[in-house]
Amino acid sequence: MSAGGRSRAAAIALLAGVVAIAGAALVVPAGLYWSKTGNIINDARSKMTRTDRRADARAALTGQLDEWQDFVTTPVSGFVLHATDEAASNAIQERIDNIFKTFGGDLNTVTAEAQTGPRDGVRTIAISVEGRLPRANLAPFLTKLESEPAYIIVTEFDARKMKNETLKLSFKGEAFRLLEPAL
Amino acid sequence: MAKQRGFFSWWFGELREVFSGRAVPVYALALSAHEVALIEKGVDTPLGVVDTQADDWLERIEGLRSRILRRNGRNPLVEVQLPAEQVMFAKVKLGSAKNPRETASSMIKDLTGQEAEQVTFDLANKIDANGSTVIAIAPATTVAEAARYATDWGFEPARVTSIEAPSAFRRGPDFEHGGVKTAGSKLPKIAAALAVLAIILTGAAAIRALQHRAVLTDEAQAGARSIIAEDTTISESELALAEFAHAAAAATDLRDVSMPVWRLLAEVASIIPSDVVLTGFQYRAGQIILRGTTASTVSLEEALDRSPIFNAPTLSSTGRSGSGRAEFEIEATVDERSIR
Repeated sequence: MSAGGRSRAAAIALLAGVVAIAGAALVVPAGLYWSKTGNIINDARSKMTRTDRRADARAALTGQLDEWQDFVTTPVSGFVLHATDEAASNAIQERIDNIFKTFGGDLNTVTAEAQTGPRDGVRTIAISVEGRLPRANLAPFLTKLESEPAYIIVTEFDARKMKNETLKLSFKGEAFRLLEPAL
Repeated sequence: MAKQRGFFSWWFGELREVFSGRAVPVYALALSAHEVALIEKGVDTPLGVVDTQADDWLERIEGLRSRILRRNGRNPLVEVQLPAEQVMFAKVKLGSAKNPRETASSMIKDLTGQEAEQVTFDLANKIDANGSTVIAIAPATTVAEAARYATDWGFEPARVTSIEAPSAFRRGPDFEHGGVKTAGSKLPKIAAALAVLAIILTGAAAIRALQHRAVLTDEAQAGARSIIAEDTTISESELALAEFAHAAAAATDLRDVSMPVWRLLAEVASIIPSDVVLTGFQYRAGQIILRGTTASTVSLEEALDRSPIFNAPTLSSTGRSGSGRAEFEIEATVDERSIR
């Protein structure tokens, strides 16, 4: 490059430098502002995104809770659907009496007593029964007793053959009542 | 100060050359009756003065030339400045003439007493309050000689002007001298205009982007401020739901893992040999006890042993009835896992 070319190149480079400095004087504050507002926007957006996710999660939880609450109010939940221990005990006793009568048996004694457990929020109704039943009706009797809600879990069972094809039955079992959910 | 003025003269001269596309002289060759001075435009102090009466005046001019030749590397482009006495300034009224130069040319005779062909002139761009325009007139031969001298001395005369000029001529009059007067290229001007346009558009876009950014920031902050703090955390709600679900599934869960008596009874009925007569059936704590009579307790034990539900059948008591059949009481454990 000639001296003249170098001189011109130096003048243009100097102009470019001046333009760059002037531009930087404008660009740097603008860049800093852009960066600062970018952080603010990102923070706000992430906060809103977290809130949206929480809202979605809460809605999902509410939906699940509704499903469970619907479930426990139907017989398929297996609970004795009565609001108090006393009412539940009476309902169980009445149901057992009805089953005995349905299958030609005689209910001698039945007790139903509410106890705590087996899980938090659940009451156990301990049942103790004695009665007589025609031998031929034992299977449908048990099926009716154990398979239909409210479920009775038979924990002890004793059947002894009497005269005239009659069985003397004594059994113990448990039924369950759900307390009010603490939600 | 002089150095600074010299620097800016050089810099702006170079830039003017670049953006006008035409060579712009940074140096001036000032001619007078007995001296030739080389001036860096914008600087008061001349780079050198040569007395034309000296014997070696041509060598001295060459010396001056070589000083600026080193800096530019070509025949130095100069502005030739005529002495004040060679140039006449006058005010003329051109009115609204279509061709001011032709009109001015017609006035030359009245102004100078010479024919228009004998002089060269230049008109100032400015018109004063009285409608007058300043005209600069110089003998054509003087202008041509001045340009020729400069050329002969190794300079390139870009323009011929006057040492002194009224303020109406911002850069002094520009006399036609017949020398090289490079027409300016349009490309640098177009490029410069495009560059300026690009800078303006970029600036406008940047301002618009920053304004939009500010609005966006305000909206984001407003959105973040509108978020209401929740009373309970998600994990607390999840825990509460899990506890409720655990309780709500209690009845079905316990039923699913408990062996129903009807099933034990059905299994017993299906596996015991046909000659067995049961008189008692007891279930308690994972164990069954069967009572009755049979022809052979061995086959009963084997039958219980084959069952997937019953394990370890054990005769706990045996006897003999009046009919000769064996009375038995047999125990077996119940495999509660078989319900699953």
